[in-house]
Amino acid sequence: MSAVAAPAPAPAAGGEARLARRQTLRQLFASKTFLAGVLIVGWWVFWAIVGSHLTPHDPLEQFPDSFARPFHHYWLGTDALGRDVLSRVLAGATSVLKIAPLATLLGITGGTILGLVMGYFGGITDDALSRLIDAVLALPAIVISVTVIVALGNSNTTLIVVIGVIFTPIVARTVRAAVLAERDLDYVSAARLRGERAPYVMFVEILPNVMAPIIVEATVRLGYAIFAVAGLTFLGFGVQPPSPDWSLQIADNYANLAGGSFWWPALFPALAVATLVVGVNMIADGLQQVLDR
Amino acid sequence: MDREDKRRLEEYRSTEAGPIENTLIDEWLDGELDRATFIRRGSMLGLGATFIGTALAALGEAPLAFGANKAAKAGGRIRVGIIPPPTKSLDPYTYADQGGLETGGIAGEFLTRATQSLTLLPELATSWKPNADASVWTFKLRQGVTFQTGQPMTADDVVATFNLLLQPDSGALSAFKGVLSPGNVAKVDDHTVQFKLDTPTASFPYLTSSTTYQAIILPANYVVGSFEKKPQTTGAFKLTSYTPGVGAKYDRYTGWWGGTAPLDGVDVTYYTDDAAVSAALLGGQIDLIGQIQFATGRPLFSNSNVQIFSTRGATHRQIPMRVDLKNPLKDYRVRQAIALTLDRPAIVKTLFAGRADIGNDSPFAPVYPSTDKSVPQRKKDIRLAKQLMAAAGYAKGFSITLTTEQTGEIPQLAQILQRSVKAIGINMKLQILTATAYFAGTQTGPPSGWGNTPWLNAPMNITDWGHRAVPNVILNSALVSKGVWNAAHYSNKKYDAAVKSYTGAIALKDQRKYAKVIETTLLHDTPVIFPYFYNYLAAGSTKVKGYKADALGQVYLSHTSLG
Amino acid sequence: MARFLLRRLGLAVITLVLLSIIAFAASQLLPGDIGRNVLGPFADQHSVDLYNHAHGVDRPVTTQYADWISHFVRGNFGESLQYSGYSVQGLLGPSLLNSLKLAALAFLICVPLSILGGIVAALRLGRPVDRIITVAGLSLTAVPEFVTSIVLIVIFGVGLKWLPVTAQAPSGASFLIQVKYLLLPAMALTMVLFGYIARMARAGTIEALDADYTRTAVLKGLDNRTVLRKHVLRNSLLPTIAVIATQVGYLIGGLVVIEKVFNYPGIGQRIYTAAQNKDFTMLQSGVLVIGLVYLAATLIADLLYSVLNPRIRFGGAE
Repeated sequence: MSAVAAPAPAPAAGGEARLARRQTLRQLFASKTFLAGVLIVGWWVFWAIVGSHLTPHDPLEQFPDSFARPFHHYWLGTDALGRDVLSRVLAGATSVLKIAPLATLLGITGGTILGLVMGYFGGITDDALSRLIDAVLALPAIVISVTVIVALGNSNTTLIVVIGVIFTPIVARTVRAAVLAERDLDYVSAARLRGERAPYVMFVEILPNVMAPIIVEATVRLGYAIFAVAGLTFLGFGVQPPSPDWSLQIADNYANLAGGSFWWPALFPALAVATLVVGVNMIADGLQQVLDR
Repeated sequence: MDREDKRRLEEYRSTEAGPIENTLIDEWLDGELDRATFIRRGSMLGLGATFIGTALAALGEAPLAFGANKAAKAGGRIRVGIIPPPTKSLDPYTYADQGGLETGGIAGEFLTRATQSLTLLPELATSWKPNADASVWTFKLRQGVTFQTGQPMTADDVVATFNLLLQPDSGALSAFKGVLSPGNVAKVDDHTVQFKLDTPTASFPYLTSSTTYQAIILPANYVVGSFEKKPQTTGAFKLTSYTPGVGAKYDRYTGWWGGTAPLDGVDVTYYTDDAAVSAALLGGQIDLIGQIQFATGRPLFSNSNVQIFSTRGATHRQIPMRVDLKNPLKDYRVRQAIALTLDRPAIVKTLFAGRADIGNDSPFAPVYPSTDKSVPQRKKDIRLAKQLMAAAGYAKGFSITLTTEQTGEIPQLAQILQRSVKAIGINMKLQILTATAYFAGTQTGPPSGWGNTPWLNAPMNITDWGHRAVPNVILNSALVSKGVWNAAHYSNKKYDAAVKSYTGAIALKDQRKYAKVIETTLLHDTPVIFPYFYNYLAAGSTKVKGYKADALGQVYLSHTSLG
Repeated sequence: MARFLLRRLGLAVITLVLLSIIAFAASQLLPGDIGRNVLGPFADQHSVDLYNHAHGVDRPVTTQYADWISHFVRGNFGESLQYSGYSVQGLLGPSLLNSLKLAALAFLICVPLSILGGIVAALRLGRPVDRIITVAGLSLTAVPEFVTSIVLIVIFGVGLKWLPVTAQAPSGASFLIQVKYLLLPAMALTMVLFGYIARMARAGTIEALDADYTRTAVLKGLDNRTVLRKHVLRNSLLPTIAVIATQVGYLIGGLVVIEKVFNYPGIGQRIYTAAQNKDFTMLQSGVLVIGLVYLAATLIADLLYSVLNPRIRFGGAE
């Protein structure tokens, strides 16, 4: 599913492009799904920026009241160490919205470059790189991630790098398919006839025309990045304590869900993750509907 | 005092009792020991149950009740969840982790068995006796014991087992180093074994008990690697099937010397996840969990279908602070200040719901009789801590990284510590590694003399330490100069001398005297924080009867029944 | 057809070689050594060195790789480093079988349900049914799998006690009992994958409904059901197959989290444990086996794809 629209000619004269963009934006904002998604993600982005400055309590403060029930003094209760769950849920947006987008960006950048190279040059380069990508994709991502993180040491940077690298081949595949559809079109041959070199053709001519599927892919990948962080943190290889990161909260407290009794320290962060992922997917859906015409 | 009892006591004292036993009795008669301690030390020194009963009666005390078996309902297989699984093969002499010792301990037996109060009961040995200075111990073995292979147990088997335990690749070497060397275990006759120690050690019998979990008695012709393949221990259950990482099955051994175990068999499933094992017990899929923690098993504590088995012990965490680096921790006042920021009763309440003893920054757990309890308990005191920091020149605080492992409640303890030291301006960063990574690397040699492994070299760390019947190993290896596990790289001649004296002391009074010196020295220097010694906890359904938690985690099912 | 197949196989072999190198390199990356892991932190350094030497882990890496590969291709995966005396294939085999059982059940439940859901949503495009299916799918997929799993366990296992909370049936259990035990994790997996597959099926169906050949068929006078069956279904399945194939890798080797929560001894658990304990032989072979399964699945998917879509069957652009 990488259908790309009828090829627009290479960067058109200013006015036309601006009109096209305005039209796209209007279509986007007409879509209810897109708007809902923007609202949800916007809410979390706000909290990611504002962080612990506006939360009712310091997310790291350990009150003597551990496992206080929700809907009483502490709106969402407290966790095992007596920390306010509401404050932690609100402040927890920061870490996931720092790591996941950066990891996605890394993956998109790497994948785009790789995909452009493979799609444009074709031949042996394409074959060889495709094999490498197949090999990497055949590996169980979680185990490889864990191995690399253990080897390089546990830190946010490692997490971003590992997830970004794991995403690169997937993005490369999508970009490659899109590039293949563009490669044989007139404007590309025109550029080559003009004497332009390969990097120019790839990045200046082709890239703008494959932006649509890349953007869609980026938003989809963002959802997966959030999951990747959640899964790795659950296994103990992601974000480090005492960060109020949602996945860390879930991982620390979900054992207490077993009896159904102490559910609030794990369930509220889970809802937060779910709403964020739903929001991101709604944006992805909206974008796909509009850009993939 | 009954005249007959008095006469028997006197007769024992003048004929059988050696100087060690007499010292004990003197202490008992002088009122220096409470009843529990007397029983415990008496059992350690091999004073038989009959004699102890006599001694107690001689002073008008109630007689012993060593838990005689009430008629237990027979039949059924118990389903046990063991978490985490053994990480390697099951040769007993190599046991180094909880999974391994629990798995082996269901089938295996020891010369003696330690009860919850650290009293030693006869198991494969019926009596034991030290010589005058506790440098030679003689154990008499039980007659009529057969291995599950059919062959009878004799002194040859015990000698062979201990020779295996004293090999360089034995997991028990750290316990025996400096105490017993290879070749010094000798057969006296078919049912008597003698141990010639390197140094006089009054607490030696603990090294042959269930608290030294590698010391399962095996046949003399035991082939390394065959433990899982063929049942060959002496216990009530035969290990009939084992799949690494998955589970194990045991069937009742009809030739057990102890009679007929109530249970038909045991089905063990290994778990890696606390939620899964708790859910399994709550959902009725297993009957017993070998070990639980309050932090991760909360749902089990408030459930009416679950009973919690608990025993006090000396399992603890050490927070060493390296004294030899060019950083603020070099100054003892800084270390004291850090120790003073901890609200220990609150920590114990949060992490263990109170089921732990507060530590006083030395290996002397309150549960040890040799602990000198007159040394004042360190309490939280932020004002004093700030004064000390200022005196050391760090009024503005500093940054430090704490490295530790992802085991049990340690990550939570780390977060509590991080939050506590904030009050005196210390900005602590946490680095939490997997247990494998934390213990990886070399332990000896350059660059620090302790190799490069994180747990012996990080500026500050938290390490888990298992229960031990006596504090000797910890006093030595963790804090003596150049001790193999001296993560703080602490070196103090006064401390070293006190430990030497402590190890050599036989009488409890003397032990306490040196303990006091050790405790006060450590409180002053604070190379390591010992925040608590927590109870060992297990959980089971209310159907399980006749099961007791063991401070080390032994899963002993020979007298257990279902309903 | 045969040429296509041969070409795909040839490429797969190259990929496999690359895969084996990556798998080997990954296990070498891990810190620590097997000796220390097996003998424990309180063992003598000397004993640890002896153990390492006995297991050949101090040899040059090229030797270790060559040794491993030459035995692997002959079906001998070597001996597990942490469980001495146990062959790797002896432990991997049952684990793989377990994973295949779970994957099969999850597939059987999830795929028909998702495809049905996607098609129904597409047929009732824009109406409440569509909205519900889309939103429900999206929301379920958005919750991390360990949360879904534990909620299912609490409700059905501990609360209602309808289903067992762990996935491994006692040995010797009948087929039906095994299915009963696997039901909860299969449900959890279904919830995780439903949204994604349904969305693909929905999109594919929408596209097929809009396509020229559908309009032609309707104009030709064919009734709706025939149109659906002969044209729409086939084309909506195409992208779905591609998606399902990529999930196979996840379902076989990526279920570390699900296996942990349901205490299921699948292959994900095996290699995860191997990664934690630096059991090289187990880790490299396990990763390679999973890679093999994944490549086989994508090969089958490609075959199915070309059968259903004659346009790409005979050479041409991939």
